[in-house]
This record gives sequence, C-alpha cells and structure tokens, in this order.
Amino acid sequence: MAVAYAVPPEPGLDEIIARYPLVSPFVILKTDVQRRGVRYTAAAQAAVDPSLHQVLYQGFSIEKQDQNPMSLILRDGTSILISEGPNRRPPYVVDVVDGKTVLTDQGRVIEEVEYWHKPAYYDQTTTSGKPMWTVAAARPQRIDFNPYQYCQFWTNGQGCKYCNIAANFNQNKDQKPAFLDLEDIAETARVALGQPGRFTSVFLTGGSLLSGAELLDDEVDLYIRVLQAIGRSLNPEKFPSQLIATAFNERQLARLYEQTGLSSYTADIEVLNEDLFGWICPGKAKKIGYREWKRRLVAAVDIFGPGNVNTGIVGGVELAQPRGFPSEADALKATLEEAEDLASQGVSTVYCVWNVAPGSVFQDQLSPSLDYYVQLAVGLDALRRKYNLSIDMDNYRRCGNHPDSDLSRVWQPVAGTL
Amino acid sequence: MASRLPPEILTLLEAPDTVKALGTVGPDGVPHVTYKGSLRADGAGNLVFAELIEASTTNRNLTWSIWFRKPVTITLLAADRRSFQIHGLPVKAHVSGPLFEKCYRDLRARLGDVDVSTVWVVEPTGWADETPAVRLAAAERDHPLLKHVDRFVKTSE
Repeated sequence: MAVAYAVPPEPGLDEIIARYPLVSPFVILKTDVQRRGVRYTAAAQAAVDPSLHQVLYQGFSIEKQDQNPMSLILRDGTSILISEGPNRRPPYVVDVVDGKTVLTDQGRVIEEVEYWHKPAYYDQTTTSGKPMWTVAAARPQRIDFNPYQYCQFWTNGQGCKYCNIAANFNQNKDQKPAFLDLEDIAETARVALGQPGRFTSVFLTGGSLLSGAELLDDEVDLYIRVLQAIGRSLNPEKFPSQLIATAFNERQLARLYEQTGLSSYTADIEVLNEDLFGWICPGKAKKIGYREWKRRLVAAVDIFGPGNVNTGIVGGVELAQPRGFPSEADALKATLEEAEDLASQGVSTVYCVWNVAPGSVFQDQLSPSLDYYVQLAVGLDALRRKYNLSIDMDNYRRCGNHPDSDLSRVWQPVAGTL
Repeated sequence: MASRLPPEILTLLEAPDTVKALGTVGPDGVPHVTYKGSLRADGAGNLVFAELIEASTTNRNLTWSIWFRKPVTITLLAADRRSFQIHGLPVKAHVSGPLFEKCYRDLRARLGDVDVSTVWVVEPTGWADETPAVRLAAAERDHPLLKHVDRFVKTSE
C-alpha cells in the first residue's frame, strides 16, 4: 500500500549536491539518510550475517534486538546511524543490486554501503552471566558505555522535549537496570579493548543524575568509578576517550580529569538559544541555566585543554514549533553566532541530525530541510577552521554522527605539516 | 573506467625492491608524493595500501579524492630502472572491519608499535610505461621535429 508522506516539496539529494560542489557528497547523503531514515528489502535483510554483522544494540536511547543491521558505513568510511522508525518523509531503501548492498531512492541506486561489523566481545558473556553486548554497545571504531540508563530530569517531567530516554527506559525496564554493574563494565572493557584495530575511542554517556552533596555529584562519582574500572585494563594515564555528561562545575571537572584517564569532555547544550533552551530543555534550564552551561563549557577548556572540549546540539530542533525560529535562515544565523561565541573561547560545536523520535514530546514535529543541514555542517566546520580548533576527539571515526566533523577530515588545525 | 593492469606491472608490484610512490592532490591543489611500500594489487585488479597516519596530508588528499572523484597517480620504479605510472581513483576507505583489522595486525607484526588509519583501495583507470629508455625511443619516433639541430650536424666530411 502506498504511504502518503505529508511534507512540503523540498530540493532532493541531487539538487543539494549540485548546489554545494565543495561539500562531500558522502556527507550530504549521510545527512539525508539520517533525516529520512531507511527500510530494508528482503534481499538486504538476507544479506545480513548475524555472525559477522552487528544487529543487536542496547543503550540508554536505543533498544534493538531484531535481525536488521545496526547501521551502515559508506565507501569513504563515513558512518550512518540510521533510524528505521516512523518518518514523515519517504525513507531510503537498502537493497541488493548486482550482488552489491546499496542505498536506493525511488528505485535508483544511490551508493554502495556496508553493514557494521560486530566486535568479537558481542558474543561473549560476563562472569555474572550478562551478554557483553548489553553492557557496552559498539560503533565501527568506538565502544559505548551508558552507566546510567535513565535521566532524572524526567522524574519531574522536565526532560528535553526531543528525548525518548524515559520512554525507552520505561518500555524496557524489566530487562534493563537503571545502573550498569561496575564489574560487568570492567570485564567487558578488558575483553573488548584488546581486539586489535577495533576501537579508537572509549565513550561514556548516560542520563543526568542530579543527586549528591552538590548538584550532579553522584553523576561525577559514577563516571569516575566507571572510568577507573575501564582504566584498569589500559596502560597510559590518559587514553582516547570521551564523556558526554551534564555540565559540571570546575570542582567536578577537575576531579574527573585528575582521577581518571578521560581525555575529552562534552556537555551537550542541545540548542544554541537561551529562550529555546528554556522551552526545549526545561530541566537543564532550571537546574543549571543556559549561560551557566556555556560558562562551564568554557571552564572545561582550562582543565581538559583546547580541542578536548565540545558541545553537541540536536541540529534542527531550534525550528520546532510553535516557539522555534520562524525560518531556517533565522535559525542558522542565530545558531552559528552562538557557536562562534563558544568557538572563540575554545569550545567546538557539533550537531546530530534531529531524528524526530517516537515517544518524545516532539514526536509530531518535522525536521528541517537537507539544505539547512548542509549549511549548518559547513558553518560549524568553518568555525573550527577559523579558530584553529581540532576535532580529533569527536571526528568521523569516533562518534560518526556529526556531518560537520565529517567535513573536518580534509584539513588540519596545525599549519605547516606535510 | 577501470583498467586492468598488465602482468609486468603486477609482477613489479610484488617485487620487494620496487619503489612505489603515491601522488595525490587535495583541496589546496598542491601535489603531494609519498612512498607506499605496502602497496599491492588485490584479486579484483585494484591497488591496496595502508595509510598509517590519520592526520597525514596523504590521508586528507585521498579523502578529498574519494569524495570528488579526483585521480591519484602511483609511480613504480624497479631495480632495473623500468618505471610505470598508474592513474586511478580511490574507491574505498576501510577504517574498520575484517580487512582493516587483518592489515592492522599484519603491519604491527612487521613494523612494531605503529597505528593504522586506513586501508585504501584505488581502482586503476590507466597506466603508462615511463621507463626512460622506452620514453626516449617513443619521443624519437613520434616527435622527430622536437630535437636540437646540433644533433643533425655532420661530424665528418
């Protein structure tokens, strides 16, 4: 049965690629696939080998136990974190054509893709009996731990409006503990990180933990314990790692830096506008505040060093209605101005394509145009070039979910290296 | 369009004493040449090599090439001075997966404590024999006017 997609007409992939001849067509494609989602044909599903490909994923925001591929990777190494959920736009279709797995759009082959390969630890079990894939999830070059799988901003209904963490947790809480076991984490890390060539980064994130002697102290304590447990398997004091957490104060940041091997820090501000921050992220606004969030990001640069601190935004959520910007031009200008304020103080901004998540307050909204996302990626990459900011900590092969840092692959912040 | 390499080039690619140079160009248009000892032909007729350094100019330029279908060149110089140039297009960057991990293990076994960024695959689009003797003979044959006249002066009555 044909599905009617209720979206206004907008330029398609080919037109946008032609409009931006100096922007990687792979990155534009990735962005559009994330924006529109995918579905798999029977042939594409038959091409999945669960002994080789990653199909399972358990994290604080994603729960996946079907046999479809977890995600895709393009020929240039660009990862695509795909969504198979409902989408108001027609999805791309993954198919098999002439023996190759390809992305198609309306029957036309667009580009060859590969399914993500499964890390070896995925088939192993901890001493306590937990499948290791439920302790840590994987991306092509990154291992992910979500030590706390709920978010306390949702306890009082103050969670972020695009977020489905609470809905995901509540749907799966019979099988999903709020906290991961520390020994399970340490054991999984020891097994997983020993796979030669598999991982370039250890990644931690989870929901906010507001409790403690001082606001967020329990969250800081949790991450310190987890990082120390992971660090038991690793030699150097600092190892390639990233934490996305709530915006901690200087005392908390210093503890994190001094007591663990953590090498980079991210506190996602989600939307770069004070009024919209208050509307979209009411809990963060009430407990910490927009200006204080920014101030703490800048303070983190003094502790972790330039190039080791960034913030993430949910790209496009600034256009959510009825209180978002009235036009994409207005949203882009305001977002890049705020991102420049941060960049000038050593804080990089990266974005994720807003995947309008079922179960979120914003589930009936529509994400912006592909043109908007390309301009946002180009704009954020340009700011890093202007302020000589490295994005090694969050580049294409670590998170792989930021079109703007994908674009940063072809330049280096340090001049004069041949 | 893909070009199948002749057996002579495939043999040179396998020879341990062949010098293999990779020429790339990036967004700034500045040519960049490095030596790629790991460069080999794979079973599909493509050229495969490892780039160890993620942030190298070569890696950036190859990324630029695969994004915008910009050609690269590979020059081979054999111990006996035979030389070939191969033109090609980067078609695949393995940054993870079984092939990448095998290459990672092999290179570390051979080179010690090194990292590996990417296993690149280049599809040949053409090749030319650049051996000096061959090029000189071709120039004499095909461009008889492109010579200095003193070479025509009689040396004896």
